[in-house]
Amino acid sequence: MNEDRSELHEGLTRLADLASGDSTTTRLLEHVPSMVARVRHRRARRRAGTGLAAVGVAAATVGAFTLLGTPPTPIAPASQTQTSTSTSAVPTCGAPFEAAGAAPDDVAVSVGLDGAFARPTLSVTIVNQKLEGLAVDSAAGLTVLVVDDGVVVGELRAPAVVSGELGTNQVSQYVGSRGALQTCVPGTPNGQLPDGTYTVVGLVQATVQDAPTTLGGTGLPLVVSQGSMSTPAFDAAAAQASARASAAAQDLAAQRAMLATIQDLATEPFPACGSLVPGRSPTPPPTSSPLTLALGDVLLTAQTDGAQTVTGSGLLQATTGTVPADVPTTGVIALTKVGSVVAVVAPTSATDRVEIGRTGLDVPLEGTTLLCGSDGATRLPSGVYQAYAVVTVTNPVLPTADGSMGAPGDPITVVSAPVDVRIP
Amino acid sequence: MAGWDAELADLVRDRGAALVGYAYLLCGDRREAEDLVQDALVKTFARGRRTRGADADGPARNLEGYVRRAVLTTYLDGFRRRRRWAALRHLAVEPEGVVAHEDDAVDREDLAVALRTLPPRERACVVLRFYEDWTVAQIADALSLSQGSVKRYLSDGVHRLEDSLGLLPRSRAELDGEELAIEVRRTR
Repeated sequence: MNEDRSELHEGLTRLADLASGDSTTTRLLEHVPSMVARVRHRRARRRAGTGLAAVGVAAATVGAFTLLGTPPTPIAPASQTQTSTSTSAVPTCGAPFEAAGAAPDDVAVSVGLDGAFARPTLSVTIVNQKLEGLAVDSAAGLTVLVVDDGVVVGELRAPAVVSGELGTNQVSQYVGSRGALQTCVPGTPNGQLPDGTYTVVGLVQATVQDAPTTLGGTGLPLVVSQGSMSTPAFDAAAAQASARASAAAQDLAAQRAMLATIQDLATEPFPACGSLVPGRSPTPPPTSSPLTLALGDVLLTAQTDGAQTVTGSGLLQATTGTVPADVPTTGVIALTKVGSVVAVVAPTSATDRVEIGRTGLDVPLEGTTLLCGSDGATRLPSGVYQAYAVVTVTNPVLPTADGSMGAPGDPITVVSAPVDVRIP
Repeated sequence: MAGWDAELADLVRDRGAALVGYAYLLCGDRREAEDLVQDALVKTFARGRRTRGADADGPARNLEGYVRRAVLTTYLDGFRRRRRWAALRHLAVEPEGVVAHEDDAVDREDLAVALRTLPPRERACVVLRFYEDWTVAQIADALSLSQGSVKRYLSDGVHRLEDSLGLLPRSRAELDGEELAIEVRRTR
């Protein structure tokens, strides 16, 4: 094509030459410091994002736990059992039954059977006290086993009794009829059990952090007499209140301990350790502010020593025009509880001169889960905290009313709206 | 500045104008072209592209190739976002004119206007083929298109330009030569 350059090629070449012009290079060179700053921010952000596979925590969400079938009614007689989690297969009628291993107190499952064998009233109560990421598999549902001397002698499978996520300190109850109890006692017709005391166990198919799990109770007494079944009384409301009260008491104690640590430190403005959160709401900052800051995902990264680092990204934008300013290479994530900063890192002094426009500037953010004021010795207790992104820009040059640029002004601290973060 | 930031500054100084010219052909707006080049430079250097093992034209040329590729992808990635604004932009800003010269083979002002009539992919294909001298295969690879699609974009693009500029016989001949080699399948 060297010899036979088309008209189009020649036209495009001249057009490109003319469009680039003599002043283009000068204008671009003026933007080199800004581009260098943007590159640094992006590189820092990429570094901050490395190794996030360890633990990822975003805004806390508590999903509704859906009760399928009959709406909840006052719980039928039953009693609470401690519950274990396992991935073992569910035994069937006639198979030996062994209770799962040590029962953690994370989740309590109670199953009660009352009434006739052919159509017993099934009652299920699940109290999730502190198991994170629990969800019940609606397809697999619930299996109720009647056990006698370590052998399954009766079973009732109740698909889709309950379904969905169950957050911590939440209770789900179901009462209704889900079919007949199938039995397999030698010498006794199917559907019947000899009088006596048995053990009834509920196995709930669930997932914990997306891993399939069977929640299994260690068993409750089941009294069979004259063709009818009953389980001891179980006060579900009391169990629920107890679980919530226990969690609330723990939370309160943790908060008191935290606030006691930081109470004498609240002398510096936000986001210093112990300082109060400015009067902000989850709504965007006022439009009169020359800059806004939006906090994206907040990620907790597990460290080899068991501690965690908090990283995130913020989008710093000018509300109107362009605001040249010295922007820190890394912003701060402040974790707060009951309105006070409880964990924050010192802001960096390294800055880049950047033109902040309406398209925004990515600012990498850093924080910590170590309680401030404790010299790094205390980790924040588990729970939900409010995270704020904070970036202080210096020497900002705000556009004037006539469109010209004024002199560098006072530092501007930009604070994002809060985002809930759950620390495990 | 002694590392990558010096490299960036050198590239802007030596090749910034050429990059903006290339970007202008793609987007048709001088300011947007400068923004495109800046974004592409930031993307390229943020990835930490190294220039070791550069080609015979040297590291700067190799790095410029990365930036040109980034200009192209940034332009194509962003055209959907820009489309809405582009539809309204003429209401706020007069298109930047260029001074025509009588001896131009193709009047540049007309060409600038004609280019603006091309959809983004068509325009990219035309610029890459007739300005960057890329082969159809190279364009297809860069834009993740089949060679047949590239040929169709080129054919349609030249037709559109001819609607505005009149016949472009040598460009048409050049294009027709390639069309003989690759069957154009109108699948869409």
